[in-house]
Amino acid sequence: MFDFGRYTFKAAALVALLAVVGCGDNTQRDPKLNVQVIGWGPGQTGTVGFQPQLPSFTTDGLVRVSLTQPQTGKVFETKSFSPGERKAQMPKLRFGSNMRMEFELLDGNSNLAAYGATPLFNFAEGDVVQGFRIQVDHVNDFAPVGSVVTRDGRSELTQSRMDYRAVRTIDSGRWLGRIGHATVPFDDGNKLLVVGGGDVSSLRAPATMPSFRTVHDDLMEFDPITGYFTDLSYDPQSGTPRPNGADRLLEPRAFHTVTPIGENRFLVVGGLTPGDPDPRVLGSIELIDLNAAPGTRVQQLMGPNGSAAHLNRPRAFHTATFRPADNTVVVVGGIGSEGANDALTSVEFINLSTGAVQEGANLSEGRAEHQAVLMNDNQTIWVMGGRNSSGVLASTEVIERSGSGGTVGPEASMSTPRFGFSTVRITPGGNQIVMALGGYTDLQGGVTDTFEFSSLGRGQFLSAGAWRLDEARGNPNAIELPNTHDVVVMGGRDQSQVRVTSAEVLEFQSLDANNPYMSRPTNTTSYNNRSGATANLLSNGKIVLIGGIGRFDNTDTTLDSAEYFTPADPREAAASN
Amino acid sequence: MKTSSANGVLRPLIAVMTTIAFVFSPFAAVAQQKGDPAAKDGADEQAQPAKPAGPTPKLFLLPTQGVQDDISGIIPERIGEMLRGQLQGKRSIELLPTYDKLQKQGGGRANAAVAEAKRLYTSGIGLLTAGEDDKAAKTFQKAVDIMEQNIADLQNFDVLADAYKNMALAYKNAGYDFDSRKRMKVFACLRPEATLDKEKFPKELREVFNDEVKKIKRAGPGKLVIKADVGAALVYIDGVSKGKTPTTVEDVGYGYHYMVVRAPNGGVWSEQIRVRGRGKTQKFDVELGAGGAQADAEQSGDAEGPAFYTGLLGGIKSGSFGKDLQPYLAELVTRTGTQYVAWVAMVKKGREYMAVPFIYRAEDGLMIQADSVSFNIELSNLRVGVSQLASTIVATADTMPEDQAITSVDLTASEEKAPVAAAATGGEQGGEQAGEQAGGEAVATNDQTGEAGETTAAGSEAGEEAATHVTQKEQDSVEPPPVPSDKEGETDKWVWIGAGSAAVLVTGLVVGGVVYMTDSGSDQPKNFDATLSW
Repeated sequence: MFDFGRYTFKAAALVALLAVVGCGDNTQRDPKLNVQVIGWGPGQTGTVGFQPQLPSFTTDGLVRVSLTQPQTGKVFETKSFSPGERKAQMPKLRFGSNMRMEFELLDGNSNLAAYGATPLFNFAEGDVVQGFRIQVDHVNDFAPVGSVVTRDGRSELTQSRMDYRAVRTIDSGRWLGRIGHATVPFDDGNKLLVVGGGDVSSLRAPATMPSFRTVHDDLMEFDPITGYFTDLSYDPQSGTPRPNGADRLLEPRAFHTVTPIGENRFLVVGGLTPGDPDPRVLGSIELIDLNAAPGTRVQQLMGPNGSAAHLNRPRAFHTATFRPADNTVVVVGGIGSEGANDALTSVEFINLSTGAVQEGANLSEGRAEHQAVLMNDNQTIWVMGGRNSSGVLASTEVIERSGSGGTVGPEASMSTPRFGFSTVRITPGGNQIVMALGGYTDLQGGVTDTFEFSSLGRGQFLSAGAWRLDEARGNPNAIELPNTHDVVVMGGRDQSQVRVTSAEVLEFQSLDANNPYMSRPTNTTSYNNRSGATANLLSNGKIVLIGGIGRFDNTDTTLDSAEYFTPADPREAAASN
Repeated sequence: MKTSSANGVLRPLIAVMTTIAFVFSPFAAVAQQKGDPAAKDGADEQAQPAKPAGPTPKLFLLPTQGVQDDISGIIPERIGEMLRGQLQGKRSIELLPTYDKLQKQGGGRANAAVAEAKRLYTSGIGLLTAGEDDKAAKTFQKAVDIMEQNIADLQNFDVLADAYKNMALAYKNAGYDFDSRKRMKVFACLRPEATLDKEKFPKELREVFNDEVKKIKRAGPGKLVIKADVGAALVYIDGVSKGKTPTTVEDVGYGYHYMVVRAPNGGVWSEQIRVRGRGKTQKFDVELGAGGAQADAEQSGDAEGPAFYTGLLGGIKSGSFGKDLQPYLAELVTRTGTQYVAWVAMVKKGREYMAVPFIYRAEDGLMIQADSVSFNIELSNLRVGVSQLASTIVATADTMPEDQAITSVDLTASEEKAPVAAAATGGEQGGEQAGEQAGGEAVATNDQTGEAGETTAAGSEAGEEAATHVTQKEQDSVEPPPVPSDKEGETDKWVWIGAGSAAVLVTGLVVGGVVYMTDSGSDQPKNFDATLSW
């Protein structure tokens, strides 16, 4: 029978609910974006340090605030203010996605003096308020990354350091300084993931094995909004590390690779782990999936037969390059189980769809501490330089995709043999040209200040006597800036194995110029005299350096901290190029 | 700030009209029909194919629990009891007794860890034979690690000694000479009388063994004086009985050995010891009190159960679990011999209790989250719902549909997902709260984190919490589960007549509502204001 009582009750309830909603608060608040500036620089007394506001960089000048969309180069709104105003309002900004609020301080000559920006953010219907703290620092200069901590009951800004909350339970005495770690941006460069690495007891001479005190198995997330590192294995609800080593690497490792494979997932391959007495190379493969639920973010890569996938040849100081065309990671060279001089010719293909690992055609020469660059066809990999027991290599080889594996063929040799160098696939010239710069030129640690270019099929590398860095560097960091296409070069070691702590900028002129890139020293030194760090460009436009060896508490040590280099990368330059 | 005065009249009017239309609409009736579990249950029963002759799979049912204590314990308990009763009647599975009963019956006491170590040892032998020396060494190492961690449960020390011996060979073959020598020396301590096969073990390794044996013989045995806080505890060294405490053992050679002391009440003490030899006296004061208490708890089979069992139940009760349950489930499988483990977790959702069944298959570790069943707050649909749960569990265990496999689940997150109606009309308040949590307070919140935390960095808790909701199954479970009717199978032609006549009205109002919503959408802000302070 039709149950009138039941329907009447439901109707009444729904009428009440919908009427309340229908009559509800029709007031529509204007959504807000709040941005608070902090910075590293002089305070009002002139003392340099963290300032909870814009440091006193300049007495005159202009503050320019812009809402942009870096990925498209759009500038939605720009307004200028006097630095003394201390507050700016920008009303009626359109909703959008992947936007960035940029803060620029121009000096009296309208030169960019200081810069800071939010990470990329979206603003859409339903958002009511969003807030960011941004760090504004001198451009072309280093600054420690600031985060808020409490000391003696007072909040203060201090340099960001690794998260010790989990390790205090696991191994209370462990120092989280590190070299040989890997850092990879995620969330479109809004955050950074730090994986593994080790604390060493002595300086590692070029082409030798490191002496580890500890090798780390942690995953640290770095968030530039707060400056905090977060150990992913720490469970904030229980206040303890997650059980069973969850969200930590299954094997501690350094000098491994962490390869982005899309959608905030990463493949961890090989590396060194503590051995007795020497470190041991690893063949294991782990998968980090930051989309997975906490506690399940690190898994072994499983092979087709349901067991854990392994490299056929364990290795470290290798390369592992994601080949999107067939969802495969190509692992090339490195040192094998026989020690520092056991440079491998082996190439292995990890099929991410099936978990199958297969060895393919070998390189013509064993290579370790070489470079491998994915070309813009998303499937060809250019392998360059490196070292083996015979010496340092100038030769290069190319791995073309063939089925689920690949074929190896020769390519033009570089003008200078090098290992422990940097490569950048530069944007000018249609993303097809690779620049090789710096590095070691002999096994005794000789270093070079040269750079050179080529593209596949050109038959030779282009170089000239004047094409030089300001300083010769072994194991430098090099990053291309998106607007100017300048290349920032930092860190490394000189031929005496002394840390090179400066930064220089290879300013892009033109590919047709006699010298396509002119080196300009910044005359600035890393805050921590840092070398051996990782360097990544974040979505806020800053380069973050993490770990390495440097100065902390008046001691030379492996570093557990973060530091920014703030490049000058004005948008106007993009238009002129 | 913007306001819309026209909305003040239009919204309630449209809301009331829509409500009336919906109540009499065919959608309401269809929703009722769709959720009728009685018919579905019956259909499931009939649809089950006849089982082939042979052993029926064993299923172990864990106690039904409410998630995070947000449901009175009586309700899950009652549902669990009824579910057990229903499952006992199913011919296609063999429902095992409760853990408590199994223990009292003397059900399996095998130590899963030791079993796993033995499996690894066997696997290591295979790898060694196949020439996979590196992998073999690692496998033996894992086996040894597990055995040493569970030394009190190890009955056969020959496996441990043999693992050391073969690990030494694997390391040697793989080129790790130092590791190889180290392991061979441990083997020599454990089995000084052994003879190494000349064809299998290279000369260098045999020399390491022989040198170590010579060293052991030169040093002679030590003198171990062993006392315990419990009298007449049995002393074992390397698995060999050495009498009862207090005792003095004088026939154990120089080097590394394993001592296990077992109290009559079940307490166990174990340790790897290094005998100094040369007749030197080494004293061991063994404390068995705490261990005994722990063992008692495990043996008594009381409600708490052993640590792995309480850990398993605790994990489920937390509402957020996945592969982290695997070790506990594996242990349960080893101890009970079951092939499937099933459990039901209950969460309160508005005025309903949602029962979420899970099935774990021991053979491959596959974990399935089956279709949920809702119980109304009066539990008037208790019988039907439990019947549906039982059928679901049996059917799922039978098919184990991989498209429903999960690696993790967070049942606590689903509570935060508003029901569809509320989400559609919740409007600005919800948005404002979410916005403030996500953004506006970010700076302050992070400051607080810093203040509450450490002199070093503290994590972004907001990020952590958001991430906990990201599970494959969560996305699947957004759709509300079918609601069992308390009037099973009832249909009435008047419902359809009334509903049919209301359909026209519904259509008109839906169209009107859409037009209205579209129109009113233009009042929503499209802009935001930015404030920067420096």
